[in-house]
Amino acid sequence: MPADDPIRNLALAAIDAERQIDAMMQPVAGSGLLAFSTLFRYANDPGFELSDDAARCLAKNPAAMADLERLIAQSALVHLPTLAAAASETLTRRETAEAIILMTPSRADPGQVYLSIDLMDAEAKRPTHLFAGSSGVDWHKLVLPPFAGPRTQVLLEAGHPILAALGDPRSVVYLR
Amino acid sequence: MSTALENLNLEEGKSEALRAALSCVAEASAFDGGPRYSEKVSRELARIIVCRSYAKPLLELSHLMVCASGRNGRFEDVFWGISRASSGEFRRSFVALNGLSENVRISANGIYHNDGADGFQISYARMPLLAALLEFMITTVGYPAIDDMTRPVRGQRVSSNDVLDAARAMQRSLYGYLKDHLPPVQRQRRVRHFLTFVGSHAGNRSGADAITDDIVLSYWSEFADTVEIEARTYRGVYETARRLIVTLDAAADRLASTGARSIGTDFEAGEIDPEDVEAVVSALDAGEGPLQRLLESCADRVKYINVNESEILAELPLNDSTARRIPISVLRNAIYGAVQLRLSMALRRGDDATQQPMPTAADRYYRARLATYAEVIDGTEKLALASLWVLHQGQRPEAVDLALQLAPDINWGVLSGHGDVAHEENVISLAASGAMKAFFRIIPDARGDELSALLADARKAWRQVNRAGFREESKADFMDTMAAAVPDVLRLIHAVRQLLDRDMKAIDWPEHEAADGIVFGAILGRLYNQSQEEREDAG
Repeated sequence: MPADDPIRNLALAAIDAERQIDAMMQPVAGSGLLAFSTLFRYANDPGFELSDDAARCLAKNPAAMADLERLIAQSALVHLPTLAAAASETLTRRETAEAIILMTPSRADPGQVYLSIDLMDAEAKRPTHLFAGSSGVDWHKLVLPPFAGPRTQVLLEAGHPILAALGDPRSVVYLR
Repeated sequence: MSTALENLNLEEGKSEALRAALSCVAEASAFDGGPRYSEKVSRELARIIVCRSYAKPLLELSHLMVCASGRNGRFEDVFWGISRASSGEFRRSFVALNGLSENVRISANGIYHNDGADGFQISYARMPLLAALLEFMITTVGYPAIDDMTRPVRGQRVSSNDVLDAARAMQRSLYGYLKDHLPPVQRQRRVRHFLTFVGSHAGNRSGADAITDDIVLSYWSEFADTVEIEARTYRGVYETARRLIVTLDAAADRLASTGARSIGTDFEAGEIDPEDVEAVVSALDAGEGPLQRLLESCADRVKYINVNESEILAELPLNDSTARRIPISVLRNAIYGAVQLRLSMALRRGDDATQQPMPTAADRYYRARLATYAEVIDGTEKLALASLWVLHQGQRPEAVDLALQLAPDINWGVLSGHGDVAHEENVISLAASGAMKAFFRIIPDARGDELSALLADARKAWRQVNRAGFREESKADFMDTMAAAVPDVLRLIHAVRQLLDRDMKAIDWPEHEAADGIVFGAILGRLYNQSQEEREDAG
């Protein structure tokens, strides 16, 4: 078989490629990557939470964080943007033409806060969960109780991270 | 020197990122924690990435994204709203979307995108790979980039040129990524060395025809104990020969069917068409063989074949022409490949390798091995017969296919009331005439007509089986798996029988048992007595 035989050359190229495929198929442990399937489920399935490993992986991986941010923003029912308030100011109310979010300390227990969400359009599709966070930093997810009419309300511990995120004027909020 | 080392590390770092991306996709989870993509799909993905044959799949993917986003401009729900990326799940997703976009037609086998030109068809079977490719693209290039690249073609009527533009944008981004992360392929020296030897001993034969049993044995005999090339194990040489047979055959077929000719020898320089390379590599994929397909479709639930049996049948090359071209080497590998492995392990353990038993002609070892293969496949056929009873009871249409294969000589015409009409288009005439219902009404009776007797045999076989998937209490749970595996188990039975009857039967095995005992005894003695002496000298 001469060296320039096309069948021979194609066969050898395939064998070389197959060896490289084997090498590329070796599993990589601790690669720091997070499967997009997992991010999609986290963004869309209210009941799905990231494992500790996955959450650590996400926090260390700016590309995965960018993927998640785009996913959260896509098809959000309500978007509440960053506010021009002073960075030191803590918000207790966020409002757009679509929704109002209020954080009210409980009178019965000062260690707890009522988070209420009112939709402006009574016919609007009801969100099931909320994401709040700042681009490239950290995102917090909260599963919302069912709406009664245009409103839902949930009682949270005052130190709940979602309250800090909602109170930060630099953070963005999505209702999904 | 240090620069070369640094470059090597740098190269490894780059390819490590690609390996991690492929691994990330392969390990993506379904909702129940199982794998989202099958091993076969993960390997196909690695193949199109390494072979750089992604142009056509990315065009298919672009059309698929157009179709998936027909309702609201979003493609994600179709791709990730499903747990496992399987053809069945994609079928269900698209059936649910049926009628929501005037440019997309849903059929039983796939979808059709009316792009204003010739239209574009994608089968459900292709979709798992395209989904894995999309997940890989997102993992490497990023979701925002893919979202932006495909936005112009989503949620609206688009032309074939629009889709092509989106595909080209993805191709460019993947090309850029692979330029930085896919290292050049390593030329396999052992394969080239073997092929050169074949060339110098083949006379006027060429291609896979040049590789013969004699050449495989001669090569091993000549190079097993040289430092020129690593050819110490017969099994390694046999595998090299087998891989070359498969690729040379596939390359010849590919070039004959496409009429293409490479313009050189350098794959990296684009002198060989990536799609040709991918097509030939796919011929090497063990996952396509009947044994692997059966194991993948049902091994852990319905034990048509157990671990021991699958290890025995794995010695047989069932998906290519190896057994036809080098049948004696197949058995030499099964017998002496295993003997050599035992010798190596004995030596490694510090045992005396010279004390290891060798096969003798009196053992009739080749014939005994052939009898073992026949025995295993007889057992598999008996299990297939047992599953006929289960599937018949469950009134599954697969029972008809199974019965037709297990008893092809039966006169099926009696079921349709048309007398002896069943020899042409058996399945169609049965289904079309409603004879299937009649088939399911048959009562097993060993002394009844042929069909009743067949079912009586099937019931008897089932009663004698005690394996996972065949027990009374689990019959209903495993019915779907058993039914789905019917084509695979039939393919396996056919492939093993064909190999034994067509490729192995006419060979004078007693002669080879006598001759090979001497040849292998001499070479293995040379290799392992020498090693033993060296060990003793060192000791």
